[in-house]
Amino acid sequence: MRQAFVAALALSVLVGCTTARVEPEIAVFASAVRSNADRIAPMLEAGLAADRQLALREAARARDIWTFSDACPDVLLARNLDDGQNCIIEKLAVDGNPRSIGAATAIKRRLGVLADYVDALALLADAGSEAAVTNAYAAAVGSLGSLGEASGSDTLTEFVAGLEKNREKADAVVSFAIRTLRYNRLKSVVLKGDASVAEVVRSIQTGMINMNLDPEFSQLAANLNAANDAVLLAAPEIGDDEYRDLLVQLDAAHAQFMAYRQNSIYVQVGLIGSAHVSLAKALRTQSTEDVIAYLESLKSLAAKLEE
Amino acid sequence: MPVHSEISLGQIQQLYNRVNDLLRKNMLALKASASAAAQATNGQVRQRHLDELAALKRSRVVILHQHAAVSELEFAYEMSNRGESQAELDLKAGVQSANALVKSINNIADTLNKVSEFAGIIARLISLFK
Repeated sequence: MRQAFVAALALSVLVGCTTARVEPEIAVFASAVRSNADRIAPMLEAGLAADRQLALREAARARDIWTFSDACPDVLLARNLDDGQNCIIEKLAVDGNPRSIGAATAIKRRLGVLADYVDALALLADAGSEAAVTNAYAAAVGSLGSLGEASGSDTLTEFVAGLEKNREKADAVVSFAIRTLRYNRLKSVVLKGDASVAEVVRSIQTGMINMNLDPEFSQLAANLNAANDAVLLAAPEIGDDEYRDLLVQLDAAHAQFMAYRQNSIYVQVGLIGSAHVSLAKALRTQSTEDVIAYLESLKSLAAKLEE
Repeated sequence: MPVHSEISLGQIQQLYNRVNDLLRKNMLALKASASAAAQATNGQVRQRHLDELAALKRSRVVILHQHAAVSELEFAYEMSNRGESQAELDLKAGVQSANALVKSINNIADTLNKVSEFAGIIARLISLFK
């Protein structure tokens, strides 16, 4: 009876709630974050340097106090017993004015938040946790068995024999419990994070547009807007050829923009948001149709990211 | 801490929604008028629909410019809100909650490993003194 119960539990784990079910989504989300972070890093270099200059100017104007920390005198004499990382420059602001934060600095920090989030999800989805616990359990039972033999303790030997007999059941229950815990935590973290990821992604996009990291995107967008306005505002008295030219220009501007947008870093960053939406939807939904639909959309997303 | 400003991201999103809704309604009206003009047999009726279309085209341009104005607000919002946002803090809390579970699972494994180390040491001691 109990064995059947355990088997049913194990089966329900396989069918319903394992993090394995959403592994492809997590992988796509993770690669969207990582590939973007790699691509953006060189674009931010100039901006980060400018942000540092700005921070220095503001610190100078406010007469901030900068001084090395208390750990430094010992470190300067190699007297420290630690790794010396406590020797830092303390930076004290002496005015109440809020300091400016540059766009590049904000983007870098926000990408860092997303990267930490991805790492945490990957760790949570890692089935290695079950193996670690069941292996440690097996080792503990084995060692206790050896101890029983070495000490000649019948009580311990019998106890271990009982443990050994129930090993499989115990492993199944332990794995089930851990898998369920991981799945539930993953689900709650992702569902709670969905709106936040969308907002952080959009703030990275608006920051990049403010920095004008992709001037061609903005130029092509402006061309399309202008061509669109031109058709709508065309005077009724203009000739057929002139109107025809406006139509041609609108079509061309649209084609150019649509062809370019896929490669724009602005759009690529947006894929982080859509990948997370798929992940959240996968965790929220139980319907097979939806599962197939998002797997398809993820496949095309993954293909785009690999380009 | 997030910097407080006059407008929130939620309000900006509402403005986008409203403008997009106007665009949809404008397109529906354009399609209706265009099809009415195409079907009109009477010259006067057709002219009335053409006049409607001209007005709808002009208002579409105005709505598009409103969309651009909302985006200006959004970009200005980004410039004055570069501190750590609530959304970032929430994601960090999610990271902590995820890592806490992984850590407590690892603790179970560690404890079990210590049991076997301990049992192994005692077993060796016993065999030495037998």
